[in-house]
Order: sequence, then structure tokens, then C-alpha cells
Amino acid sequence: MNKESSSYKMILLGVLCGICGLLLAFVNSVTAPIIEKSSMAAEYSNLEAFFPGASFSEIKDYDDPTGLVTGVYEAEGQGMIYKVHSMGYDSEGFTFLIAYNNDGTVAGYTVLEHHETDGLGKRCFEEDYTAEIMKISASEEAPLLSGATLTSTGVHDGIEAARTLFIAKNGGTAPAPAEKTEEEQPEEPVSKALKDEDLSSAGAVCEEKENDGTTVIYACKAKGFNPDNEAEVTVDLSAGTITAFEVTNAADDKDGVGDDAYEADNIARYIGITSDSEVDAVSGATETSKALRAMAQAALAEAGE
Amino acid sequence: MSENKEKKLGFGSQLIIENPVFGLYLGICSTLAISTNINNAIGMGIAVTIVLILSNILVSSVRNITPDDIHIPVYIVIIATLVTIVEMTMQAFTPDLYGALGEFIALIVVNCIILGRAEAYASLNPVGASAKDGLMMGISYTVSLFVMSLIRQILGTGVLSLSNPLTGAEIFAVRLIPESFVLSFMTTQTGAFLTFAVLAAACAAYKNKVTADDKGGK
Amino acid sequence: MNLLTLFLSATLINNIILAKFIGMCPFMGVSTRVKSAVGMGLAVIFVIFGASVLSWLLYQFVLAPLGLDYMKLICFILLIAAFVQFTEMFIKKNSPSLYKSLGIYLPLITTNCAVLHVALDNVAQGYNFIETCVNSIAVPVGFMLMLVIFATIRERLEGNDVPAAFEGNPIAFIIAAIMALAFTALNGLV
Repeated sequence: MNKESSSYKMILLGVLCGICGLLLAFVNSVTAPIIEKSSMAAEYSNLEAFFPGASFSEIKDYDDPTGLVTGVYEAEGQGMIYKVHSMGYDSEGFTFLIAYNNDGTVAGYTVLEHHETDGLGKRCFEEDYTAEIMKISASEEAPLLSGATLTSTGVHDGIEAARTLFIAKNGGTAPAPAEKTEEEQPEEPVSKALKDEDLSSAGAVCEEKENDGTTVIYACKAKGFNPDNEAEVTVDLSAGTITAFEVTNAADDKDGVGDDAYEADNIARYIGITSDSEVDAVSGATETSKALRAMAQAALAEAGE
Repeated sequence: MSENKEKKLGFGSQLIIENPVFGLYLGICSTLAISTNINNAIGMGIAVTIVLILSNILVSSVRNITPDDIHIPVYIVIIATLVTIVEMTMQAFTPDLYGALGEFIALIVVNCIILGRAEAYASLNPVGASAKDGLMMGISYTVSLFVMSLIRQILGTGVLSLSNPLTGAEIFAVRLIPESFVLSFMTTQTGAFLTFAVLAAACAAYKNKVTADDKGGK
Repeated sequence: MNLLTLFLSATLINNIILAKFIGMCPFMGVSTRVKSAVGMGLAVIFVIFGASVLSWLLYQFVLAPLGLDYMKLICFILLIAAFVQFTEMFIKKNSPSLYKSLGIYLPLITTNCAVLHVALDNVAQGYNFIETCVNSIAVPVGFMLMLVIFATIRERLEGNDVPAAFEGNPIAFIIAAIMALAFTALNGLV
């Protein structure tokens, strides 16, 4: 065949491209599994901590408009883990993992890297707050942490992004955890008798305002999201119950965070309770609700109930 | 006499006078970007050398059956395939090095050295000679890259370190300059340009001197 | 991603020559005269924009759906070479004057790292079509900007007394070092 003819050139190029294509396909088939495995290896130990013994796969295709989610892993048959990079106080941001069990409960929350301040933003990665996160389910938003607003907002936004993906994967609704009954409002987990709850972080202090022998009115102060939540709690000494609960300074209301806790319905729950009653927290207003419960607890304690 | 003078031009001299990077200004992009530490330099140098040798061999093998007007696409396909294979291999077996070199592995395709040697030498010479030429060019490139990285790393970070590319484990790390005396700008773009300029000038000065000696010695 | 931010960062802050070191070979060769710098710059803008957008389309509609990610390099570089070839033929036939001023640079641009870099970058960063277009214009505009500034400085430098060893390219690199330093001042812009 004439070297200069066009058909020769086309054939030569065609054969060349064909050989190269096959060669590349071969090398790709050999190297691709190794590459996938090593990219997951870095995360492996963390993933194992959440779901020991599970087999993991990395999900590359996910639609996260916020850009906060940097990695999605699936623990086969057990749950999903999301790697999130969010911004807090430090301009470098921080990276953490949030894992959901398939039933919607939180399987784990671990920080991988952060540069937040000790005693402030860093508290978002310490036990108290971590315990809070572990308690929420896929149908709830992460609580904010007072005194660590920027960082916890970053955590909140990151978890929101992960939660959105998790719910989307679940077909658009958050899975209802097995132990909980079907309800419109998600219930707060782990209720304890008011007197047994550890609400010391709210630092509630009650001062006797009026005492006529049968009922005492206490002026209480506690720290919710902001330090100066105040309420007047009236305790019936003979029945050992709270007969009135009036919020005199809704300190968290101005930030638009504690609103739900201050709602009339939620306040009404304090009427008629004793220190043995279980009072649920209000989702989305954890800190404020804690403050209110702390004041009720302190008032009942002061009254000797 | 001129014959003696020519024999005096050993490999070292040759390396400086006809240096592909500092003398002919080929493959500058990767040199400037990669030379922040000797690990990257050696890794990149080896990758380029492998591609260079193989591409020279392949181009030389097909030189007689390739018509003139499609020779560029043919060479490009060959080089691109080789680079893609090297890239995939590196991603799988030396992930740390792959991460450090980043897109510059893919950009080996347009590294002027490779296409340049293919055009200038491999398309005209038999396979054995082409392979040797590829090796020599590759070594020159690697050495140039190594020298530049050595300077930038020592002056810029004060630490000289080497890691095993396959496992990422550190082979050695020794601090030569105390932390407070380090010229950290050497690791930035400015430092890259500066080091390159000085090395290029040094090679040019050496070349001028040798040429002047040659002329003067007669 | 904010398009203005994308444009500014591609042109000034992550300038392809000063920050990323890509496109150096033609940079050194063509920047001795302002006139040729302008010509080269315009040709580069045209080639990078056209070739990168086409490459992106090829990737989105052919390579990605077929799972042929590893064929990216070959396909892109062939597409770029073909694009440049056709552009050159087209200009030569239709506008001899344009060919005289720009056409000679076109073959040089095929092996210009910058074209392949932009094509690969658009895919690697996961840009959508609009972002690809913006990036593919912004990067060569930055390239041309640097090229023209550089050429102006080098033209001025010709009359000066440069040490023999530094004559030609080495002094150009010193200029580049100073320019790189100057442009880092823009880092806080976005």
C-alpha cells in the first residue's frame, strides 16, 4: 500500500488509536481498584470506629449544593458516613465525620482536624456537645452551642448538609428510629425525672420572692443560649408542684433561637409538674429549654421538693 | 589542539553546556513547579525519563512506516498513551508522589523535551541509539531538577528529607539550617524564578568561559 | 461558584504564568517584542477558549457517560491539535493578513502546556458549561496580560547593561521573579 495514500494514513492512525485504547483499558482495569482502595484507606480507621466490621464503599456521586460535604461513605447494611469541612472561627475551617445509622440515629460524630479556640469553639468537639449530637436523629437539626456560636453554627450547617444527603438517600424522608412510635413531632430521646437531670451547665439560681406559707414564688435566672434567661416560678409547697411558670426575660428570643422553648404550649408543660416528672426538651431550642428546665428544677429544689 | 579540547568535554561539561532545562529552556514549566523538594524532583525526573526512553523507542520503531504529514498526531498519541499509563501506575502505587506532582504528570505530554527529542532525534535514528538518547536526556533533566530542588529545599525550609515513594515512609530528614534563618520565599514562585535565573546564568557563564577558552587556547 | 471571583482568580491571583508556571516556553520565546506578544496573546485566547470548551463538551457527552476517563489525555490533546490545525487552515485561506500576524504562532500553541492545562482543569474542578467558558477566557487573558507586561519590560531592558551571563533569558527570569512577588499582593482580593 502506498505510504502516502489517505487510506494508509487513516488505517495507521486507526490501528494506533485502537492499540493504545486497549492498552489503556488494560492498565486501567489493573490500577483502578488499587486507587479506589487507597483513597478510602485514609478514612478507613475512622469508618471502622463507627461501624466495626462493616464493609465500606465510597460514594463519589453526590449532589451537595452547599459544598460542605467532602466525602460520602456507605457502611453496607448499616449506615452512612459523611465527611464535612466547615468554617468556624478559624479561617482554615475544620473537618469532621458525622455518621447516621440506617434507622436515622446518629452513629458517630468525630472531629478530624480543627484550629478552634480552647474553651470556646473547641467545646463543639468535646464530650458535652458530642453527647448532644449523638442524641439527635436524622429528622432534627443539630443544636447550637452557646459561647461557641461561630463554630457550632459551622457544625450545624455541616450536619445539615449531611442530613440533607442522608434524607435524600432515604427517599426524601428521615427514617423513623425503631424504638420511637410514629409521631408528627420527633420526640426528644432520653427523658429523665427532672430532679435527676444534670442541668448544671445552665447554672440556674433561684431567689425567693414571695412566700405565703403555701405557695412560693421564685425569681430564677439561668443560662440558656444567652446568660440571662429569667423566669418566675410559683411552687405549691403542699402538692410539691409548679403552679405557674412565667418567663420574665426571654433572653434567647432576640437571637431567634429559643423561640420554640418560649411558646405558650411548651411553657404550659411546666404547670403541674413535680421534681419526679419528666420534662422533655424542645428540639431546636435545646439550650433555652435546658435553661427553663433548670429553673424549674432549682425552684422545686429550693422549695425542698 | 582541537581534538584534545573536545575530548576534555566530559559528561559533566556536556551536562552544563547543553543542558535541556537551563541551556535550551525546554520543560521549564514542570521544573519551576516541581522543584520544591528533592522527593518530587527525583520522582518527576524518573517519570519523565521513563516516558522519554519509551517514547523514543516507539517513535523510532515506527519512523519508517509513518508518513510525514501525520507524524505529529502519531507521536502525540504514542506519548499521551505512555503518559496516561505512567499516571495511572503512579496513582495506584505511589499515591503520595502522585498527590505531590498533581497535574504535572499529565502535562508531561506537552513537555517540550519529549516531543522535541522525538522530532529531532528518534524519528531519524535507529531504536538503540534513540533509547540511549532518551536515557541521557532524562538523566540531564533529572539532575537539573535535582540541583534546583536541592537549593530551594535547603534554603527554603532548612530541612533535607527523602521519603520512600512506594510507602511514604521517611528515609531520612536532616535539618541543615536553623528554622529562624530559613528563606521561606524560596519555596514560593518568586524563589523558583530566582533560583532558575541564577542557575541559567551560571550555565551560561560556564559556557561562555569554555567557548572563550576554546578560542583562546588555539 | 461566583463567576466574577472565578474570573479574577484565574486572571490575576492564580495567574497561569506567575502562580502556576504553566505556559512558560512560548512565554520566554515570544515576549521580546510587544507587538508579537499581543499577537501571541490573542491567538492563545482564541485557541484556549475554543479547544477547552470543545474538550469539556467531549468529556461531558462522550467520555464520562462511557466511563472512559482514562482516555481523557489522548482525546484532549488530539482535539487540541486538530482544532489548531483547522484554525490555521481556516485563517490561511480566509484572511492572509490575519494569518501573517497571528498564524505563525498557532502551531506553537499546540504544545503549549496552557491549553491542555485549562482543558484538564475544567474537568477536574467539575465546572458547568458557563464556568468552563469563563475559566477558558480568564486564564488566557491573564496569560496575555503577563505576556504584554513582560514584553514591555524586556524591550526597555535591551538598552541596559546586563551582565553577560544573565543576558537573554536569565534576566527575564529575574523579572518574572519580581513580577511574581508583586502579584502576590493581590492574594487577598478574593
